Amino acid sequence: MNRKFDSFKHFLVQNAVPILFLVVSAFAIPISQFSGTYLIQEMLVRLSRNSFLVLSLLIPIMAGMGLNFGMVLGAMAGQIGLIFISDWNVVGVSGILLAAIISTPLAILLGWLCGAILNMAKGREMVTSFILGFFMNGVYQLIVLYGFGSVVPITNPAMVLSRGFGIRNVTNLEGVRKCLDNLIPVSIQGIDIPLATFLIIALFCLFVVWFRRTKLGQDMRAVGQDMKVAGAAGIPVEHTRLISIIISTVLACYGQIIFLQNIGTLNTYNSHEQAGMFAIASLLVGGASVSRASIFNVFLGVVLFHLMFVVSPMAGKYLIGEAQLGEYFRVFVSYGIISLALVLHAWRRQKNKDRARRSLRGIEAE
Amino acid sequence: MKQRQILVNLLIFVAMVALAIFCYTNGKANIVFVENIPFNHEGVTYEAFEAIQVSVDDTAPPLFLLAGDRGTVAMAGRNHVLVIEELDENDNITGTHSISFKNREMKGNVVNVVPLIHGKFPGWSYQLDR
Repeated sequence: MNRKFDSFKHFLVQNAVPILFLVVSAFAIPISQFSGTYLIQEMLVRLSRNSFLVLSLLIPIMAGMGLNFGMVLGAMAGQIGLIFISDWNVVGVSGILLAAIISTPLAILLGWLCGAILNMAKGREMVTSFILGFFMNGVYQLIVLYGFGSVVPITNPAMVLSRGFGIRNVTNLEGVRKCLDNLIPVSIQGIDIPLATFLIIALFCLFVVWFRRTKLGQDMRAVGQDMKVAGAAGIPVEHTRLISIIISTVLACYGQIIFLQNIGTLNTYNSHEQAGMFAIASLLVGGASVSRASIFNVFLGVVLFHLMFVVSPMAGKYLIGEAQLGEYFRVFVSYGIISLALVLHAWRRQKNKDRARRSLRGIEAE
Repeated sequence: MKQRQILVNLLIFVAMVALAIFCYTNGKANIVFVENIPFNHEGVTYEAFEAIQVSVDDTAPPLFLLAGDRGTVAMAGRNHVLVIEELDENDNITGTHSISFKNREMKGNVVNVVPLIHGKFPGWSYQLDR
């Protein structure tokens, strides 16, 4: 009986965040008064929009580098590609592909930079990548605000600030808007399904599954478990970590392109900042931790986090009668979740240690 | 780096560049003026349509042009299909023409649908003087 209770408690501890979100959503959905069709449509759109970005976080976790806050670097690279195709007026899927090709070398370079720095800060990867994101944001702003239109030629005057250089705050992506989502149009009972985007996400999932079985994937798992042991076994630890960050950055770059083609507007100086925050929050809400994440966590997290996003403003409005409150609640939720998940992760780790110690002593449960 | 590895990397690079060029040429959209104005060919005057609806490559919403009107559309790719629907006074469709043309056939950024429908008479496309 004790053993059963202990394992149930363990299950609750392991899945505290998704359970908490499920409970909050179960209360908030009826209060928000949204219809089921609307919520399903919203979730499908948000799954197609965000899943790729969140999936890009899996590989660094596998390599024991925690949550890659440096994915914003990839997002920046993707945005630069999109700025170029908007300037050249390349539209449709060709535009998306061209943006991806332009931004790939940039993402590789930024990923390499990020990986090299993170190799110097072993054990403190998350905070380092977080700060690196802020640093690179400054560099990005310098380039886009002063370099574009002066050093880098921009031919479309509608994109350039009135002073003659620098990109405007908002870049219109009308030419590529939803071009991937609407590539294979499918509609079931009035619900539009962005099939092409889901196919790409499915391919990415297959890639992750395949990658885990490759030599490099196994090396990453070994490095993630214990760097010293992996090093002693002849695995090039630093090189493996570097590659994991490069792959993650490149994938984040593609993820941001997919995200922005769905939105249809690029917030030139802010879009990338939100990308990292929301992707990480989604993954954590899905039950992932700093050291363990799966594809299931990604999809569960995106659904739960964005369900909360859709439902909470309206629920807040109907509960308190203040529309703005819902917006505040949204921001509070996204930041609060990250801190809650990190606190729960630390608490869970402590619990697991206690549990392991108890089982070592032969004590099942008090 | 092994020689084979260098070769593979080089091949990937070349493939990426080729794909980028293909995407650029295929996806580059140009703003084209579509007009419905009378046209004179070898002494014969072809009148403009009273009202037409023009759609290009089934992408953007169709242009509504009265006689003497000019509108703009963005054309992406190298091959285009222009669908011209003639309208009566109640805006009912009385006739439909579908004409395909290539970018290299165009002489400028203006397309006059009147000579285009009548067998692509010379001058159906010309450069707009600024």
